Amino acid sequence: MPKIKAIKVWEFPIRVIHWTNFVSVVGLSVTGAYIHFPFLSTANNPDAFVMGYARAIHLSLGWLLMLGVIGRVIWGLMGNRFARLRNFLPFTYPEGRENLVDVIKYYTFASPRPSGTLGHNALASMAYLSIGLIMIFQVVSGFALYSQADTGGTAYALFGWVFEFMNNGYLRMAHYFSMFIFASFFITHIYAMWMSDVAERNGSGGSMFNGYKYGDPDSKI
Amino acid sequence: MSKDESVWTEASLEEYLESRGVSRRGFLGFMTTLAATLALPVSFADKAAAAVTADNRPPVVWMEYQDCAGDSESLLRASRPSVGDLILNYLSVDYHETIMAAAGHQAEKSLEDTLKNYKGKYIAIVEGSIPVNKDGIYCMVGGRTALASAKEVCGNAAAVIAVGTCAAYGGIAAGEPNPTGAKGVMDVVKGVPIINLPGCPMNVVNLTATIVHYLTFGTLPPTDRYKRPLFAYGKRIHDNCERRAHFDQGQYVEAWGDSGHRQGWCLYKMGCKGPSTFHNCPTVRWNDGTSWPVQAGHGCVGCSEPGFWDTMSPFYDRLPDVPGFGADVTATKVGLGLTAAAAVGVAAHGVAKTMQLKASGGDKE
Repeated sequence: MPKIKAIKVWEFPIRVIHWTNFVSVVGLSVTGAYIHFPFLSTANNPDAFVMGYARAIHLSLGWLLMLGVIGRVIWGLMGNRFARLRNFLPFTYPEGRENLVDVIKYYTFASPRPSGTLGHNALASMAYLSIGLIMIFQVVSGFALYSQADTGGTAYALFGWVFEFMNNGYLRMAHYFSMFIFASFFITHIYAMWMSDVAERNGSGGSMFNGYKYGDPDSKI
Repeated sequence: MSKDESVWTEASLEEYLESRGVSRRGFLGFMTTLAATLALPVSFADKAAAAVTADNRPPVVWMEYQDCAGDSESLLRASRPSVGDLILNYLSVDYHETIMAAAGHQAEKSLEDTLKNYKGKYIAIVEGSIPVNKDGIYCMVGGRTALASAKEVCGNAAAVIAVGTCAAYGGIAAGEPNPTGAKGVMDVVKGVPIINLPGCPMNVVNLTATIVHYLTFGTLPPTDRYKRPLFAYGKRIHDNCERRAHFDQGQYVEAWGDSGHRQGWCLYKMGCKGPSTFHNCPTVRWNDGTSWPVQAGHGCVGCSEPGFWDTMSPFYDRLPDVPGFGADVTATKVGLGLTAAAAVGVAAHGVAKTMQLKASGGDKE
């Protein structure tokens, strides 16, 4: 068996971005759900400003998510080997493809345990690529919808092109629907993390807090 | 338009208006309103008035294709003949299928004459969509397809004004599955200045303002990415809505006729499309500024947006249904289904995996 060591896998910026993304996605989902379906009744309160605050929080967290996405891309260019953007495209290099087969076998019960990786396994990387692209879509579509309040403004100049590709009504629906993709991802993500912790004993549960995972330091991925 | 030659050729606009009971004061008042609609300084009211009364007014032809004549109705059915209405009458509308006195060959001849004598100088107003499937046989006028007619009439015009959502984007006829291949004018005719005045129907104030802008400055007003003039479509309904305060407060109509509805609260939860729709309804209103849908207690249906029929319906839901899932399948249903499937799938997988790990012999190594 290979020697198992505690390795610093997730650097500080990666962990910070992970948790700001967590906060923004959860906050955006709660406020976004309220904006879609305003369930609080303020009938007897003339001073209420519920929708106003919900939108203010939603827009502020939209900025936070945008910064998270930009920060992650930048760190993907300057971080350690586990943070590099290449990891999001495991199908482009041999070790990635090999690991992809291995992980699919593990999830389809063809093997009880995966051989293990230090960073993301290949399937997880692809899930993060998808969720990253959806985050980008949410940021772009969100700011595009926001920019409609002033079509002469900077935001519309930067994001108005979205309406060349997607009609206003469908864009709103897609922006709302993506919340459920985040919810599904959230469930799957927690499960996969827990299962990886149990089956691989790699410490992935704690790694997003302390940065360390246990594994073979010579592992390519 | 019933063309009384003596009125057209001899009387000035002032005399014509005078004969219809509109004083010069009333006329200038109207021009000031139009200047305001166009977001021009008040000083432009005089310039616009001079341009409208000048003798070199271009002739106008009004073409109807796949339409319901609703925009013509909007033009004609003011509660009283408005000044704008009279100006449009005065603008020598040489051809208008619904309301011209001439019929048959005479009517077509008057169109031909205008096309020949004013080539590149007349204004073409188009109402209704243009079907292009099967070479456009779904709409024939005077033995010609709308497609051929639009290419000739609009292609030789100085400027084209597409009135109503059908002429602008295909509108209702272009709704899924669009059997006739209905398209807006701008998708069929190229190479001429085209402006869209969508709406179902268009607001006659915006049509008059657009024409006055053209007469005053010699160009069509600046437009957005959908070729809509910014003076009329630059702001969202939602952002100029008189009920906006209730939206921000969180006070919504929950059912038709409930206490919120009676108090004039926000119609957002009743499917109002004001947040998605660009139009100046809240400021210019309809029927001589009498009212507009939200003021009357009904949500906006988003009639001036591209893809209106498909993406702004259901009228009483906030978002369009998910395409490809059949009728009445909302994004919420699909999304909750997806989330539930993820939860159930993960739980089942977890149970099976735990059993497999146990069977494979407890701990690794």
